[in-house]
Amino acid sequence: MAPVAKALSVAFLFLMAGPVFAGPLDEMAVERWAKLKEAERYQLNVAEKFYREHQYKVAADEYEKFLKLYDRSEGAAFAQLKWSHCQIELRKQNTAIKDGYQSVLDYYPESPEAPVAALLIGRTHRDTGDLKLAKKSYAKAISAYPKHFAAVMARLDLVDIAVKEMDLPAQTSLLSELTFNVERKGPTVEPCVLASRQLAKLSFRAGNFDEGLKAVASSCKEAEIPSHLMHHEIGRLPWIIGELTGAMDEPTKKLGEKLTDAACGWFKTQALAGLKDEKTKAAATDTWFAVVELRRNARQPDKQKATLDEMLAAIGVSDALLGRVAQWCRENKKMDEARQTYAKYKDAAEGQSHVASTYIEEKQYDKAIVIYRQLAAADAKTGAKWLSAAAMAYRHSGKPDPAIAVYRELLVADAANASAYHFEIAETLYYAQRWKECITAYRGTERFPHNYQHMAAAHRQLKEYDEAIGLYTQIIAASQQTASWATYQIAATHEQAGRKEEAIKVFKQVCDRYPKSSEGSQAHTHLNEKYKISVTLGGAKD
Amino acid sequence: MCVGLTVFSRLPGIVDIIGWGIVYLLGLTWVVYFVERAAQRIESENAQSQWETSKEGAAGWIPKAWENHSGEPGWNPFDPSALYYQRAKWWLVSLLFLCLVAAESVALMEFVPILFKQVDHNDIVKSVGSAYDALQRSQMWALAGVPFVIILFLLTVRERLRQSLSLLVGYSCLFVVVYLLAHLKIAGSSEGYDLPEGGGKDSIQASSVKVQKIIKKKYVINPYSSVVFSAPPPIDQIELKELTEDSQNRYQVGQGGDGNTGDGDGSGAGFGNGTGKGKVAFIRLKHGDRGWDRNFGIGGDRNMLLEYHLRTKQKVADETEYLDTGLLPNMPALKNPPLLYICGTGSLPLSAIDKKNLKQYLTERHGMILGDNHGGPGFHQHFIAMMNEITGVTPVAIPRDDLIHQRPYALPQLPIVVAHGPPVPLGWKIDGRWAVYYHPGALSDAWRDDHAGIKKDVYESCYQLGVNVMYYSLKEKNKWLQSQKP
Repeated sequence: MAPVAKALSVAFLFLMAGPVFAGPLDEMAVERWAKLKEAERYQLNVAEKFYREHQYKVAADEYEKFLKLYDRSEGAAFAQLKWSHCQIELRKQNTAIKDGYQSVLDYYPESPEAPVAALLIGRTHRDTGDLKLAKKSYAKAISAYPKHFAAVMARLDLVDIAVKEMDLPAQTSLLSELTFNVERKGPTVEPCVLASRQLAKLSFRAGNFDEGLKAVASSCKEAEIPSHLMHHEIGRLPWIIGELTGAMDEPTKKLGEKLTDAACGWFKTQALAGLKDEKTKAAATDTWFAVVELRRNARQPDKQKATLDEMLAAIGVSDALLGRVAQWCRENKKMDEARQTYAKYKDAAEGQSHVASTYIEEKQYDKAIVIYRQLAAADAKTGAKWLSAAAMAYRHSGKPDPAIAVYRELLVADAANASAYHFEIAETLYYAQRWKECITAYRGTERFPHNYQHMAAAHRQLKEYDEAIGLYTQIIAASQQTASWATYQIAATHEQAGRKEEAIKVFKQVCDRYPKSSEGSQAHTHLNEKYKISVTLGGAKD
Repeated sequence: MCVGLTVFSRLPGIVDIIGWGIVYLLGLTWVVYFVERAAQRIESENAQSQWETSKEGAAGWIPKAWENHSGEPGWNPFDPSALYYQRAKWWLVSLLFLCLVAAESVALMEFVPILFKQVDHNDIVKSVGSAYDALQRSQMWALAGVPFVIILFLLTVRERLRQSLSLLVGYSCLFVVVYLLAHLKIAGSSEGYDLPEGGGKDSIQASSVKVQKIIKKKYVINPYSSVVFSAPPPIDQIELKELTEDSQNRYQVGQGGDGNTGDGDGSGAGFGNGTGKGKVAFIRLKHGDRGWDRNFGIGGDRNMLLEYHLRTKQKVADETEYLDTGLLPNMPALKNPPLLYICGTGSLPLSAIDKKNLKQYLTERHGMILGDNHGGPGFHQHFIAMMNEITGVTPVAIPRDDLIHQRPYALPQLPIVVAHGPPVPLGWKIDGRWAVYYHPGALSDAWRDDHAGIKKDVYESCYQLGVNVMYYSLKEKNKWLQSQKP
């Protein structure tokens, strides 16, 4: 639970971290740096250094000092802008707008920073939830600086607001304008490309393949279109087809099927045209594979198989194509057919490894191990890889001793990776619940704190609570990142040992020392609910 | 008696139930005693009458069991030979029992109209769910007891036993009505909440700094100890002079004079659109999570209400309260509570009706919610998902320099007891105002008497944050009331 909560917290903080400025929004042109006097440049560099080090409070003071000393300097507007960025980072968005960005507009209206400030006023309003004010500010920025890239960025931000407000016509109109009407030059290229990709996805979701295709084509070369359409971040076509055809309502499903047919038709035409030229044959084959992929995502196995048969007839047999056919068989629970197909591979070793993987899928580990052993014996170079796979198959089948024997073989055969095999032996023993042996095995491994965590867990299983606590204490001393986790585990170990007083004491320590951590939260809840203790300690400011 | 019932109703959880249980048993004992005495008296009168009749020589006339001395079965419920205690008259008992159940339901009609208003008749599933809800809330399940009582009645041989059974049922039904009425009153008033009348500014009068006296003798106590060392000193060791000094700032004569906190031109601390009887209330929402009432009442959120009064000098309610979302639409639109406090440990289970009521409360009636996480990621995610659905907007991190963090107290940092989510206050903004404020770190733990054992500067900041959020909600409500005036 704790790692999940931690991951969620990190992800949330990342999302909440506010705008990350880069490029034209927080940099000054080299030519303007050149215009600064030596003292001005020195002061600005000091401020920039603190800014780069994320010491925003100090950086803000340094920018302020610059503004007081050199208010008529070439860098004054830039310093004012960066001071505002510092306020944003310090979560003082209102100050940033009123005393920062607005000051740039009022005192330095002709500076290159003015359009950026106008844009950022809108963006800051958006980030603090004031969508009406944000829209107004963006409109002002667009009308005041129509040719500047800030106007382009403002339109892109307005798309975000339209998404939040679920205003589909506004989204479409803004994205179309950015995709087809705005001149792509310098810093405007990136936002326009982003807009074109968003427009493509929006069109696909509406079942309109041709419009989406046009949008993607506006931002790449012709040869790149198929791969861009299939890319999970650019065109996202397979995923959108999957979403639409997997919908519960019939009209959406129909829309998905319509989109699939239109897309497959286009891809097939492209593939057939490409196959005519030997130079483009490989790319054309990939384009045809896209049809297979789309049919799979559209949940149309029969059409997927028909396409594969068509390809076999048109292109001939190849390992890649056979792999797709076998994959189709596996997905449709035809394992024997899949194995027969893998057996036809030109690269026999590769084919056999796939056969072994089918046995693993069916939990027929012994048959898979036999194949891995044969592969290891056949080629000494790749032997270690196949033996590792065999060991893993033994582990999955619940046979730790043969797995350890294989790892011991590997210790000799592949001495360069000995430490990894030592670790795998320890892991095998741990998951086989052979606690004493695994503790010994982990002692020889290097992956700290994972090895200590598992050793401590093994000691707890053996009811050797003091030894476990000793290990957790060592983790606290050596790894700050896992200190809160280890302290919580000490408390849990005391509790497991029946030492309630000690457990309560350490749970309170967790709350007191790590009030912002997920373990602090767990300890607080535990003290409240299990022991009915309200004086949990804790307390912090952020 | 009423005061006693109200006191019981205000006690939380098990104490409330045990208290009412004792009252029920005491009442039943007295009912049995009086009925028995009355029955004995009536029977002895009947016997006397028969004896006198037979003495006068009216031989040949033997009164039947259900007849009174005049020879006809009576209607007196204390008379075991009354008409409706005859086995042949089972239908009459059933009718009376049904009447009692109906009376109980009529007493609960305060609930029923709200629920019927909320039922969307176009949606059968919703209607069935709401009808079930209404049945549950109005205790109509008592109807299920009707056949049981009739069978018992028919099986009983003696009139006295049938009388006891009928009176027990009648007494129980009346008790349920009294119990529910007492709790309805407490679980939120449908009359609504007014702002306190007055005016003022959004700044707190500077408080004087008192130099701490050095106490020579001091025990060093392990702060991590599981034993609570918060017992008061022996009475003979309390310095009366110090006690007077410490407590003198709790109340000052002439509070509400200069340095009032509020909004408007009126005299005294309060709000321009408040009323003379208006008071600041601290109301929490009752919901399905077991942690909904964490730190409720005396020694908990009542401390916050008291602190609000001491710091702003505005009139506050005597006690903190809780209410069910079902009561919100029944209140006059202008008298909805300005702030609802929601706390929980695991989840925030709200029904479709609850969500609809809260949406109306936040968007149409200008209310505000203060969310407080006491449990962990479960409540954090549930609360965010619920508020997203209810408000239709997504949360943002509330700036440190926002008005809610600046007035009446300037709070440069967010105080937390323990972070049950990322240590950032989240807000849902509707029409330029914060409709929901979410605190991730068990805010009300710091308001308790023991302050969860955290440092003074942190719990002081927690009180300040509480004051700021309450003040913000009242000020926004005041603005809205102003805008509603013709």
